[in-house]
Amino acid sequence: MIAIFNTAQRANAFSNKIHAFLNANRQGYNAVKWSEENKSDNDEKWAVQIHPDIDELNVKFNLDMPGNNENQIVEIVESLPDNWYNIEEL
Amino acid sequence: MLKTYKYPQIPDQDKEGTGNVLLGVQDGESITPLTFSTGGNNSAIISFTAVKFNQYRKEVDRITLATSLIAIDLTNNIYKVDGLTDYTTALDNGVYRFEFQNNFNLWKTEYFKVIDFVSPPFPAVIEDGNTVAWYLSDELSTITKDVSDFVSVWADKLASGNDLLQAIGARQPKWFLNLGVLFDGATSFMKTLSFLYNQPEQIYIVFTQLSWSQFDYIFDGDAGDSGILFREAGLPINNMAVYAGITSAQKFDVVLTTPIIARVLFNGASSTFQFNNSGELTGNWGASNMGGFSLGGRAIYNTTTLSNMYVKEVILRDVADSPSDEQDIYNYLKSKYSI
Repeated sequence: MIAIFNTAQRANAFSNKIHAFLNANRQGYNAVKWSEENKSDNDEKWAVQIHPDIDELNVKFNLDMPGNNENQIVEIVESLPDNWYNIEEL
Repeated sequence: MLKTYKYPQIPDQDKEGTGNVLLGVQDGESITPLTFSTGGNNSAIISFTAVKFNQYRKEVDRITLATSLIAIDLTNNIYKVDGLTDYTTALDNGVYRFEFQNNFNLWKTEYFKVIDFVSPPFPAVIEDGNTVAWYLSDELSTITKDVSDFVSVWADKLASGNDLLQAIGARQPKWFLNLGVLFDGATSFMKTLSFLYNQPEQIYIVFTQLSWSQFDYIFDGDAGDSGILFREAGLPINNMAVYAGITSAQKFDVVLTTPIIARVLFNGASSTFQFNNSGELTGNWGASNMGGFSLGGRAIYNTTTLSNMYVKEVILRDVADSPSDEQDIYNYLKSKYSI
């Protein structure tokens, strides 16, 4: 699942929260960051992968409530929409 | 099964050996003959005995061995034990010493051990110095994963340092017992740092495709499209090809959820491409050099190229394997994964 945000700042903040959560709660978690954000081709929306361990994150971030105030998620989708690309390819 | 050992030597004429020989040789290897001087005290060997000892070096048994295969060179005062016969096959496990006796002398070799020889579970060719990386999903000492089995490092078993890495949490594949490392087709991807990997590049990979989408990459090199196995667009849905500058003809052997062995050789005009033992394609698929290895997608990360598959094992070689070496490696993978 993928969380969609309206700004890179919010997407980054969300990614950082997941990273911090896993660092604190997942033994052996070994990553420098949670994600590189994907963005839409018109740069209006930003996407962050939601962790496969969705249950624990649901508790932590309440991801089943799109648009919640805490995370500013505007949409949750199953896969990345067409015409989105990864920042690394720029 | 008892296997052969290089014969222990006789350290000094007329003196007991003090060494402890434990030199295994594999089937098909030659046995080092034992040659020793009679010192001029010539006569035909009259006894050849294996003396067995317990852990306190106390003699516990004597086994008479045939002397017929001991060459006697009386002109040069040399005895030479036949280099083809494995005398240890007549012996139980334990510590022994050979004794040779003629009318004048008794020669005693170093101690040696006979043990059950366990063949390594892989062909020796993999360790011939031409393997630049070897990734095994069942070799947990080579896999760094967290408590939920997400893999951040999949190291080369041969410790070259050409390890598959993923430092971004959302892109880490997940390890599964007996199935392999799962690349989910959505985010999972691993890649080595760049290393010297030029054609000829021979790649063996055991993977299980789980779903299809066009332009799924099974693997790539360090730069994008520098040496790939991928699914092409169009139909049939399992149209797989390789590319190192030129796209190969397609092969259609991959079946979803069924493990398969791919053999790919990038070697200019003598490149080959094969799944399992089906018809091998030969052709020229370009001269690009891989310069590294990417697994699960295109070298330049792109979510549209990510494959959904389990990977069980990958062997990267920087040589065009001889037919016999290739067959050895294929047979090893085929047997190991019951393919």
